[in-house]
Amino acid sequence: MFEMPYTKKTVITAACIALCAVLPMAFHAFPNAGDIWLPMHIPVLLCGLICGPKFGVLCGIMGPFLSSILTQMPPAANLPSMILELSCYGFVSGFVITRIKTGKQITDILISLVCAMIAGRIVYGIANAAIFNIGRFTLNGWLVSSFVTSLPGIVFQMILIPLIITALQRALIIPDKY
Amino acid sequence: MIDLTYQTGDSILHRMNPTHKFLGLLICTIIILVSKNLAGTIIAAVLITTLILLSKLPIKKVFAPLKSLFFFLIMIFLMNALFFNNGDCLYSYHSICISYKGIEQGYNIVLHTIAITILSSIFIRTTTSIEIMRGIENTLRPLRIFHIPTKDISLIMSIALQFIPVFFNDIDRIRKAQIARGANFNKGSIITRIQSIFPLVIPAFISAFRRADELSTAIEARGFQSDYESFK
Repeated sequence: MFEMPYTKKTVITAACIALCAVLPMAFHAFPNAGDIWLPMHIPVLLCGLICGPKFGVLCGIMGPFLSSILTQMPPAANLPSMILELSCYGFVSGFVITRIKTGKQITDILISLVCAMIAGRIVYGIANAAIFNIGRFTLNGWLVSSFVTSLPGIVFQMILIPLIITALQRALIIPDKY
Repeated sequence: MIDLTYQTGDSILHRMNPTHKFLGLLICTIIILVSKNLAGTIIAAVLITTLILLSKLPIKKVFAPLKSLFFFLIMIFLMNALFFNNGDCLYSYHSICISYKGIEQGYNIVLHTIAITILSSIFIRTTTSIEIMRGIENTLRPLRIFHIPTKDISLIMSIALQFIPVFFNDIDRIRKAQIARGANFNKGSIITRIQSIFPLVIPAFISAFRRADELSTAIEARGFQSDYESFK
């Protein structure tokens, strides 16, 4: 988490929520973009990393909700499990980066991202298996959708998010962590 | 781009209290999601028809968001109708299994999505962004007991709603600028396409965060007081 005034965190969270609705539209050029490139995950992970776990959770809840109402992406049937997954991303990425201090910002960000991605996918799997898709959700299906189909998206996020944070720091929009 | 603008009007739905309207949207969505038989479908259809008539909105505007969902809905229906295998296949070939249950499930999902899309469309077109903010704030008010900053959350939602069209324009502007520099987002191998997305996404984030930074400075300069500092 980066030290910033409360108001700035509030407005950045609003911007990330808006990007949750806007970014999937920018990925329309790619077939099946939502499942492969996971564009909605990027603002939530960024919000958690920059503003902290509470704002990350808020972005994870409101982002998909607003996007679903305005653009019908994700569809209402997938919305509850997606809200749980994304709020977990926002919380864990924010929580880990506040606790971890390796001395190198890039390492902190990558560790936080990996922890958030694993935790979010586990929550998504448990939520579907135990609540939303009882009897229809299989372990193989979860492994394929979470780690195989979305592998390009995971790699994309691991490269893109540190790049965005560095670019924001160079533009003096957010401060350095160390 | 989907048109999500408020439609000026003087119907009962336009004049209705935004909190009641927001709660109504949530309740109708739940009713639609739990209804899985013919009676439920009829109730949902009557509910939506009544709301369309009460809103006095042009039918074309209400159904406009469905146009962009057309292929998605067909794909969802076919995936359920062709690949849902619970053992009672009417016709099967390799992994394809056409069953009553699959057709029913596909039909339900498509119908629910259409119904909720129309409801959201009516809500967005009959409610201004300020009313949406007020509706969300009042609906969330009971959560203040748990020290959840509902005023800040509704402010965040209101700012987010105002940012959406701005960001759409920003991304479109950046995309056109990159095309003018020779970028091609629709052609080439998958690697080329990934490489082409970086010059689109990074400036989009910088632009969005810069706008957020400027707005937060303006809000602070006007003496904004947060709801609960505990949300820090």
